[in-house]
Amino acid sequence: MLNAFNLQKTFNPGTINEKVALAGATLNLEEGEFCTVIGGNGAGKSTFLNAVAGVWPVDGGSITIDGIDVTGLPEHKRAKYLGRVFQDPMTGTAANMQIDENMALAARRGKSRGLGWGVTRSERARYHEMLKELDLGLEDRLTAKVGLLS
Amino acid sequence: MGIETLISGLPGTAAQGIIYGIMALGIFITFKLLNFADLSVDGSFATGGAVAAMVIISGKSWILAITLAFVAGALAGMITGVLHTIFGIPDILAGILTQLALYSINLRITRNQPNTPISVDKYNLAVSLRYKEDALVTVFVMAVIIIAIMYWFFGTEMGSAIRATGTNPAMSKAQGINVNFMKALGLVISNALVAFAGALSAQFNGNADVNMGRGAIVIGLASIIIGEVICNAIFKKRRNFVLTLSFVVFGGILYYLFIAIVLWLKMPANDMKLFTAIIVAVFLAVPYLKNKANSSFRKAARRGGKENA
Repeated sequence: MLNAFNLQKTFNPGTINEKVALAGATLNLEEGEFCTVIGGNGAGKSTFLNAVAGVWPVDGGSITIDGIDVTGLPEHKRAKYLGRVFQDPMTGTAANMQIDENMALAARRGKSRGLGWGVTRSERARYHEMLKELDLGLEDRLTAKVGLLS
Repeated sequence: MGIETLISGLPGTAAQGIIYGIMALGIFITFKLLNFADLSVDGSFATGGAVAAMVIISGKSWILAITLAFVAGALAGMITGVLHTIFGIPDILAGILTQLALYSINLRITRNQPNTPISVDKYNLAVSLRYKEDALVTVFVMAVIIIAIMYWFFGTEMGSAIRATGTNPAMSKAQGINVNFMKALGLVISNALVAFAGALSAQFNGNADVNMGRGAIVIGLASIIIGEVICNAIFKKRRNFVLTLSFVVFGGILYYLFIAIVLWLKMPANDMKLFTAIIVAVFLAVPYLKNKANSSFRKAARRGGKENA
């Protein structure tokens, strides 16, 4: 499923702030596997996740998802093959946009965005049902701005 | 001068105000939706006027003039977009560079004439100060159509992607949105609208001046902010996107009405920019100070003191 092989990343190379963050990180995950990466402050956990997500290109190594080599794909193109949650929930949402709009943005991850409605009526109905299961009362606040939630 | 002059001039004032309002709708896209302080509009407003004037002088219809002005504005926006996204120049600087370059380009467009007259006697124009009432109806209909199109577009997948880019670029990338493309697209649409308004303004006033765009960004911001403050005051929670856009245009009318009153009071025209700056500063400061007054430590201390007493 996910094969990260021999990933290399050095930040600020050749400067006094040079920091080798990844030196040959390798991780293979099969479908359905669950994995926890632990390490001290600065060990490179976030760097590894960012490398897989494609926040910046790696210096060396390769990343394959489902047999597709994504090493050379920029973040927005790689998004088609992976979903992720940010460390801070506010980083992962558009605060100025509504709950349903945020859900619809995520539902279109990796798809081309044309001139169809940003949130369709059927989607709104589905989101209502999905949020109802959480039992947080969010289903009645579909059009509330995400930034107003705590 | 009696109040009659001010009143008889109202349709013209409103028409010019709506033209500024249309320009402000363009600025709204970058300033509010894209969170991008785009200063190229001072240039692209004049570009719109220059292109429209030259097309009209060449004997073509005003429809073609406005269309080509729209396209020219789109190109100007694309230059800012390329400077920012491909060459990594910060937003304000990218806009200033485009604005500066456009000054020379605008003069080239008008064959080095700083002022190009287009008289309504000689040419068939979309709007003219001479026929104030007709002009008012025309620009009003145009504003309604533009608001309708903007309401539709920013509700689509692509429009939502532009808004998401403006509010959270990191999240947008993670959702597969090409943020650079969306920024450039927003700038293109914004400057196209601004140039469109410039084309209308040149026709309305019967000339395209190379300096007509000076201060356009501030007038646009004034319209947006005045509109926002008033819309919030009237509709509070019931505010929606259509109302927000409509009040941007209404803000343009109010702004220009204010200018008309100041001129009618015989205040020196040279002080106009000072007045504009003061209006914008006041309207920016009032909501902030009001908000601050509602959540002040001093009041909290007083409330707490009462409870303890």
